[in-house]
Amino acid sequence: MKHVLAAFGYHARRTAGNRARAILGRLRRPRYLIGFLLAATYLWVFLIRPVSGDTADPQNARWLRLGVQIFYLLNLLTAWIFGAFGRGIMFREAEVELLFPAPLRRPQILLFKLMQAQFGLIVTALVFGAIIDRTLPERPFVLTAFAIWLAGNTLYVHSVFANLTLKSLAARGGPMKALVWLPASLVVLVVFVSVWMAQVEIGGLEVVADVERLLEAGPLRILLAPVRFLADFILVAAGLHFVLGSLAVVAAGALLAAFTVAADHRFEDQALKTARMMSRLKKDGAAGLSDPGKQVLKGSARGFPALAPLGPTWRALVWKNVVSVGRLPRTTVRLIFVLIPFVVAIFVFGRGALSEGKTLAAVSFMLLVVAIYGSLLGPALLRVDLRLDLLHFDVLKSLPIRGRDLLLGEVLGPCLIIFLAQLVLVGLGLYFFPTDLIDWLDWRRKIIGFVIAMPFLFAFDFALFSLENLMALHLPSFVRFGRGMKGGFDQFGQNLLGAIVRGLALTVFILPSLLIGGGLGLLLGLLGSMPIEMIVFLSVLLGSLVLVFVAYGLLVLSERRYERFDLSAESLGVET
Amino acid sequence: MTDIFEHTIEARGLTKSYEGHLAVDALDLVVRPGRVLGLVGPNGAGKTTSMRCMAGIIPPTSGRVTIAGHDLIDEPLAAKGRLAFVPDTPHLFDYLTVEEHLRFMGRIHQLPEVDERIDALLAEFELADRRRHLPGALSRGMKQKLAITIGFLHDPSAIFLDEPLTGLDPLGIRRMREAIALRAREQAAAVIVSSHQLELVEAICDEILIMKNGRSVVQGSLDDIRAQLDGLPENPRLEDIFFRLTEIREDGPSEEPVG
Repeated sequence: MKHVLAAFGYHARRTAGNRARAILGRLRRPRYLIGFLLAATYLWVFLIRPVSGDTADPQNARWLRLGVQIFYLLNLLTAWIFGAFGRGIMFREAEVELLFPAPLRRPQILLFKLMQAQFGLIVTALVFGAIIDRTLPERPFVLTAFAIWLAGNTLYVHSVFANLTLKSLAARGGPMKALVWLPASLVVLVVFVSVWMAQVEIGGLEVVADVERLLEAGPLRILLAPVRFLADFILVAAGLHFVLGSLAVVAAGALLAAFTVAADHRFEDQALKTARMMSRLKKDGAAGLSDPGKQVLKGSARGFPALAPLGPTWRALVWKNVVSVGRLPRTTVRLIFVLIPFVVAIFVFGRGALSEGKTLAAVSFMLLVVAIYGSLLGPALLRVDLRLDLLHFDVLKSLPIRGRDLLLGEVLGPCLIIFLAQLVLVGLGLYFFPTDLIDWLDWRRKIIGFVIAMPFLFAFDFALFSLENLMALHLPSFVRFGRGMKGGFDQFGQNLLGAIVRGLALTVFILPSLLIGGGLGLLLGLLGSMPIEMIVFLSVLLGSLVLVFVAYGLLVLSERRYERFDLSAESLGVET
Repeated sequence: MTDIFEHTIEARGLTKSYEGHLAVDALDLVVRPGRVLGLVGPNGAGKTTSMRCMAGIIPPTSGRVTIAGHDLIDEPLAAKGRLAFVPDTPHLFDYLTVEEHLRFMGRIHQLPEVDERIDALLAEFELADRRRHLPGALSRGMKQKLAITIGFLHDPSAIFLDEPLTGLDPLGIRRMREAIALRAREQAAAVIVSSHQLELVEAICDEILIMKNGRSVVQGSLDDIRAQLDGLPENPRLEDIFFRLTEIREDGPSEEPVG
């Protein structure tokens, strides 16, 4: 055992050192340096910078305690909810191929994973320790950071225990396999019963009090006992209490570790599967969650209208992108179909809308909110455009398509998908909204509202997707290419830098267009003494037209950039 | 030193199924010390899964595997201490250098005088000037060489090589062939090589095992197999035998084991 510990210690030490050196070495490149500095400044200013005792808000301590409780509650619960699907212990292919054939026992391999996690656990403890220190300046930073690190280790062991237990149940098959759904079902039940019992007014002014009430209500209170203990241990305990708390946390971790070792679960098959998934995830993003063997289309391959061969060339690209979006990984689609009803249900229950007979109003409101958020989140979620295709730039350039047509086609594909989804959501939202709740709302005005929303949503989507694609073309270093996922502190900085550029573009490009077009429509409407609905429609229509015109104009102006674009000369945020 | 047993690698009734799919079906094979077995078969035949089961990466659903006389399930440490597995695609630790990979695995195997072994292996596989490189700075072929070097570090008695030549340049291929022959001849290692390069298999392997649909179709020396089959062209190559035994013919698939 001694030699194994020495080997793992060597691995952890060398990995941490080399990783730090690699990060520092990368900072020699300006874009990484800028990104790193921005991220560090952001963290310092908004999260870590010490606040003087006079300006520290005592209410923040209440927020903090609540936040810590929720964080640990989610950590504990997700281990049992998602434990059967790979969370908890994720191996990398290098670990599987180098450690599994090596003379190591299963517990030793798990110990390796725990030691591997130390880099992340220590960084987390330091960052969150500093964040807490800002809110609780009287609390010694060392105690807080140590407590977070200790709790992190025990929670890691807990998630491994939950993961292996659930996997073991799933592997047995038969009726036992159904048991893996039990924790998730219980959690959903507990949350709904507690929300029901608390009758919390979510969205009210007393958010902290509401959430505190929710956490104190019904069965959630029982689930919260260990979480409350952890929050007190991290934020309050001192002296003897801290020592006893530390011992309790270590004892809990040791007990869970002992159970795990005694069970000696066979995790090799699952480890291999998750290792492959991790590789795919890194390379293909969310698409990697699906098993490649299951990525086979069922049914007719001619399910989509054959747009490609007809009409202008840009339609072929629109067709390709629409087809690609339609083949999003099933996991992503399932997640969307589970999450939206869940959020709507929580909202409806939370607002006590059922008891007040306002269920339809709440559902309609949520649908409209989701539709509007579609414009903002759509370009980030649906990346089936230049952000994927620029990686195959040599293929694109070999196609007999003019630059402006190619850009238009790339932008329109995902834009149309989002727009159609929004139309459905807005239509449903307006249809279900009870007309008796608002005096002036009748069916005629609902239809007018729908007609007005159409040009605006399309123009806004088109402008935002154009912006993302123009960013990809002009500032490729600030854009994530491909489907793969990249993390890290400096990548966070890059994303922040990209967000700033997007914000600037939004200000100088979208808002003036809307204002000019909208103002023109207003002027024409007033001069023509039109009814108010017509003035609004005209303003929105002209504003939208100007926005689309400007966005398309920018795409046309970028044609030369497209023609001169050289992938090999760019430093992209993806391994090609 | 390498232990000498009648069969260094022995699999009996090795079966592996995943979620209802039978990947390996009751595979029997033996490899004696100093012998090289070529494992060939079409894609999806179960070669890699068989190798992974025999290397202790994944447990078999049923059947037994012994490495140098040690049962892989009952005595995993003793068995794994004597084997090496080199995958078809090398996966390495992102933040360990070439030399640190070898030092780390040397510690796991409790190797004495690891410095000399590392120097010799790095020289043999032309990685000496890359010893401080991280995997990200290595080409595909160099990563493959490092994976092979890691496998050879503890002088294993049983070596499993899954497509070992992928990504190697012509000189690397020659070195690899020499290295396999050296381990078998001078260190009496039992070697299983899985490859689609049938000429290589024919050149370096003493015995051949052809798999299809998870089952062994034929096993033996090339001459033995030639003798078992009728209707082959004159002086048939392994390629002729492979297609004969694995192709779908007009009268149906040739799935029945031969011999």
